[in-house]
Amino acid sequence: MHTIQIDERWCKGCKLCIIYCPTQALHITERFTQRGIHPPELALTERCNGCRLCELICPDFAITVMEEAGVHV
Amino acid sequence: MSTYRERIRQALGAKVQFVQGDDACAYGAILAGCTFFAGYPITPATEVAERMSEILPKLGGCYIQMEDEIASIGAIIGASWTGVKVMTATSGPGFSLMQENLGYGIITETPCVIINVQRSGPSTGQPTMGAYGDMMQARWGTHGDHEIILLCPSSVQEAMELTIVAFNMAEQYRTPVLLFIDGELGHMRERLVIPDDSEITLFDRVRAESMEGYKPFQVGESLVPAFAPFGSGYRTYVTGLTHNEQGLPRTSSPAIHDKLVRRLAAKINDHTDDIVRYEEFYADDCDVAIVAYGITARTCRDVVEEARGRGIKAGLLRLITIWPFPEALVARWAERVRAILVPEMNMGQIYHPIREAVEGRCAVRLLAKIGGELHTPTELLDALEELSCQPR
Amino acid sequence: MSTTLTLKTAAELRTTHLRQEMFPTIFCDGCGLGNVLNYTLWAVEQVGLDLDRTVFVSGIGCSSRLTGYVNADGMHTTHGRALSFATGIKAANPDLNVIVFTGDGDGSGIGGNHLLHTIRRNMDLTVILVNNFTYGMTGGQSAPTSPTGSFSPTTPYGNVEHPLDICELAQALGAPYVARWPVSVPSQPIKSIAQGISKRGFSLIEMMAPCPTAYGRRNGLRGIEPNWQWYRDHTVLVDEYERVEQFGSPEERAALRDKMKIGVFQDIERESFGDRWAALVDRVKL
Repeated sequence: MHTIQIDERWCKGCKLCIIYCPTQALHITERFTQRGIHPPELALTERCNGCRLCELICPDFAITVMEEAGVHV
Repeated sequence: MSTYRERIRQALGAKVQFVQGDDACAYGAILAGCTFFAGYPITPATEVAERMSEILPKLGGCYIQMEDEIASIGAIIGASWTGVKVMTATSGPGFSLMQENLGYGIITETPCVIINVQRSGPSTGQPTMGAYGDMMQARWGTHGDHEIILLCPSSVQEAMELTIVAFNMAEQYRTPVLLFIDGELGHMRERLVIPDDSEITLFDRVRAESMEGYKPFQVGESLVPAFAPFGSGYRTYVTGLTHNEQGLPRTSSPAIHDKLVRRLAAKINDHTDDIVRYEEFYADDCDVAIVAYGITARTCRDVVEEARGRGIKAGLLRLITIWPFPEALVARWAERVRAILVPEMNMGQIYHPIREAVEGRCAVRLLAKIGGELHTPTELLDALEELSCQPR
Repeated sequence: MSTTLTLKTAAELRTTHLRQEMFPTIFCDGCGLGNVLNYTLWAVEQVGLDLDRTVFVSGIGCSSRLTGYVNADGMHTTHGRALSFATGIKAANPDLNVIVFTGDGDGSGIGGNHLLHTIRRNMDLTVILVNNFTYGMTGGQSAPTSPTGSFSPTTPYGNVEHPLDICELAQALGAPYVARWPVSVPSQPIKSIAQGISKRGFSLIEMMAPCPTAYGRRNGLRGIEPNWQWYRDHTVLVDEYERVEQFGSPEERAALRDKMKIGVFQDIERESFGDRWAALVDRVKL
C-alpha cells in the first residue's frame, strides 16, 4: 500500500502526475489549495503500484510517494 | 624549495629592465599575486597577454585565451569567485564588448582588474595610436547607476606600481578596478625597477570566518561583504539580478534595490580618501594650473618648469585616480588659481567633471588633441601663456 | 546504472539538494524546467557529487533560473555568457565540479560562439541545455531552434529561418559526450546527465522541454497534455532513425522529416583543457 503526499505550497495543479500515472490512480480534487488550484490526490489506492513516476515527473517537487508502514512491496 | 614570492622574482627576471608599459602592467599583476588571466589579442594591449601567457604557467597559474573580450571578462569574474586574483587586458573595442559583464562584476562585488591600453576610436579607429577616448566610457559604459575605480599612470614604472594598487583596491572594495594607459605608454620602453617585497603592500579580500549566520552580501561598517569562495561549503548564490543580503533575487522590491545600489556606490564614495591619488606641483604658488592625467601629464611636468622659467606661475595637478572623480581636490585648486588648462588626448572628457568641480571659480580651458600624437611642449606653453593673461 | 528510486529518498533529496526558500519555482504550468532540475539532482545524487564542491552556472532566461533552486554554489550570470564564467571557474579551480544550465537562446543564440569554443577547448563542464524552441522569458519570440514555419510574436507569418541542431554542432566539434532527451521521459535523462558529469571533458545534454505558455499555444498545442504528447510523436531514438534512413521504406523515411533524433549521439574520450594545461604547467613550472 502506498500513499502520496502533496506539498500544497509548491503544487501548481499542472496535472502532469495525473497524465503520466501508468495505472491512472490519481484524480484531481474539487477543493482549492491556498494557491487557488485543485490539487491531485491518490483516489484509487489499490491501483497505485508505487512506481513513483508521479514523483519524478512532477516539475515542482510537490509529490512524495510513501510506503504505508508495515507493508512490504 | 623556493617560496612563491621567490619564484615570482625568478619568473620576472632582472630587477632593472627596459620594458614597455604593457609589460609593466603584467609584471605588476604578477607581483600583486594575480594567478589567473583571460584575454583576447588586441592592439595595443596584446603584450600584456603575451607576458601573462609566458609567466603564469611558470608559477602554476592559469592563462587562457578566450574567444572574445566578453568571454575574457566572464572568465576572470568566474575565476575570481574561486578566490584567486584575476586580470584581463584589452583596448577600446574590447572594452566596449566588456561593458555588460563589467556591470555584472560591480553588482556581484567581484574583485578583478581590467587593463585598457587605449587607442583612437570610435570603432576600429587608429589601432596603433594612443588616445584617452575611453575615460567617460569607463565611468558610464555599463548600464545602470554605479561607481567605478579608474587609475591612470603616467610612466612605465607607475604602470607597474598602480597595477598592484589596482589589485589591492579590487580586493579591498570587492569591485572591478580599471587601469588605463594608452598605445604610446603601452608600447614605450622605459627603465623599470622591480620593487622588493618589502616595498610592496598587498591586500587580500576579507574572507568569511564562520558559516553561522553568514550572508554572502551582508556588510558591516566597511560596506564590503566578507567573501566565501566557491567550493568552500558556504553554498553562495551569485546573481546579476537585484538581490538581498543572502544573494537571492529580489527584483520587485524598490527598497531592496535602493539599499543595494546605494551601498555599492557608498562603499567606494565613502573611501575616496583612500582611493583618490594625485600628485601636485606648485600647488601653493600657482596662478595658472594644468590638470592632466596619463601620458599627457608627463609633458606637462616639464612644461610647468619651462613656464615658470618664463615668469608664469604655473602648477600641475596630476590626477592618478580619475574615478571616483576628486571633486574637492579640483575645487581647492580652483579657489587658488586664475585659470585651469585641461590638455586631453580626446575631445574633452575629463574637462567636463573638472568644470563641474570648478563651478565657475576660475576659467577652465580645454586643449583637446586627437589623432594619436601627444601634446607638444610648445602647444602647452602657448596655452599657458594665453591663460596667464586671463583676468581673475 | 539503475534509475530506480529508493523509497523516501525523494523527500530527502528535496531537503538536501534544494534551496527551499526559493520555492515554488517561477515556472509556468506545464513547463518542463522543473523536471530538468529534478533529473539533474537525481543524477548528481547517483554520481555522488559533493554539493559543497559543485558550482551550478547559468546565463539568462527561464532555464538559467534553475541554478537558484539548487542548494550549492551558484552563479547566475549574463545572457549567453554562462560558459565563459564556467570556463573561468573550472580553469581556476579544476577540483570543482561545474554544471551549466542554459537554454537554446542563451546557449546557442547569443552564447553560440562561447558554446563553439568551449567545446573546441574541451572544458571539463557538464552543460544541460534546455531547448524549448523559444525565448520564453521575454514572451516567446522566435529562437535559433524554432522550427521553420513556427509562429511567434516576432514571426507572426511563420519562421522563414532554418533551426539549429545543437547536438549535431556539438558532435561536429568533437564534444566527448552529446545526448538529447525530452523531459517526458525521466530515466534516460537522469542516466545521461550522470554520464555527462562523470565524463572528463565537455558534455552536452540537450533537454527538450515544452513551453506551453509562450510556444505551444501559438503552434497548435493548446493545453499541457498536447504539449507533452508532442515529444512522443515527434522524437525518434537515434538507432531507429538510422535504421529507417538505411533500410526504411520511402514512407517511413518521409515520416522521419517531422522527427527529432533523441538518444546518446556521442560518447568518446578526448583530453580536456584542464588535463593539457596541467601537463603544460608540469613542464614549465619553476
